[in-house]
Amino acid sequence: MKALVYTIVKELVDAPDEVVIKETAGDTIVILEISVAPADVGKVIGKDGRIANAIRTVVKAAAAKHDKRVTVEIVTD
Amino acid sequence: MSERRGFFGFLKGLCKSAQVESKSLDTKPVREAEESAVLTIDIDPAIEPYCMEKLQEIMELCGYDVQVKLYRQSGDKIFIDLAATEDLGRLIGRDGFHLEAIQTLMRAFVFKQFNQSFKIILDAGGYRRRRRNSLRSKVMEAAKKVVDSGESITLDPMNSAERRMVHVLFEGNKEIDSLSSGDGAKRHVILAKKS
Repeated sequence: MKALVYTIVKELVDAPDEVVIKETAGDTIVILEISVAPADVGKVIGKDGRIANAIRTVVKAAAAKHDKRVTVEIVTD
Repeated sequence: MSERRGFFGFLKGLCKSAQVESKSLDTKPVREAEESAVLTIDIDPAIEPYCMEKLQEIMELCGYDVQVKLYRQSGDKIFIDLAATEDLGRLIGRDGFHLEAIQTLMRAFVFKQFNQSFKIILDAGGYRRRRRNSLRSKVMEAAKKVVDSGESITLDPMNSAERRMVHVLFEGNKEIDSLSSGDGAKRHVILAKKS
């Protein structure tokens, strides 16, 4: 799942080198935290969160195939 | 703001007036030049192979057994079919939600990589056509009820292409008005009887 999110996110940003995906995996639950360069945060979220929601939908569907539940968060700090 | 016929309605109006104008004798050559400029957008030839490759990569990372097939390309539109067997239902998602998400991402990718707006239309096993047909019959049924009862009917949420289909269906209709309302994924069409 991490590779999938990474592939998607690096395609959307100006600074692909600064994309970091942190994966915290339990038995069935996986948490994926996306962090990107501050200037790229908006590109990953999109207008009204359209892009962020599309990423969540795609990743959740893929995870469901492997009986996993995924939470995708975009980290801003 | 929330109730309007949509951007495509406006475009359609433009196309119509353009057609009428070209039939009349005193067509302005300036206008024609403008039109052809709009029609021949320079499309980066690298977009198509990029789309195919990226989609294939995403599908593999998702773990789906999918064949990415280029269906047709015309102008700034590219039709791609995702041919899957066992993962088809998953790929489409409820009400095509998942297919729509992949499409949204692909369009965002192309815009970012090529700085060019490009309409990628994704289908999976002919889903979109089947969905349009079933939507059309549902909508016509609802329209009949509206005409009979005089009361408005709120249809289920639809994406922009589907809403457009409904608006086109009732364009110039003497009995039914179609309006879009709501925001984002909840945006839907309301059918009302013309007063």
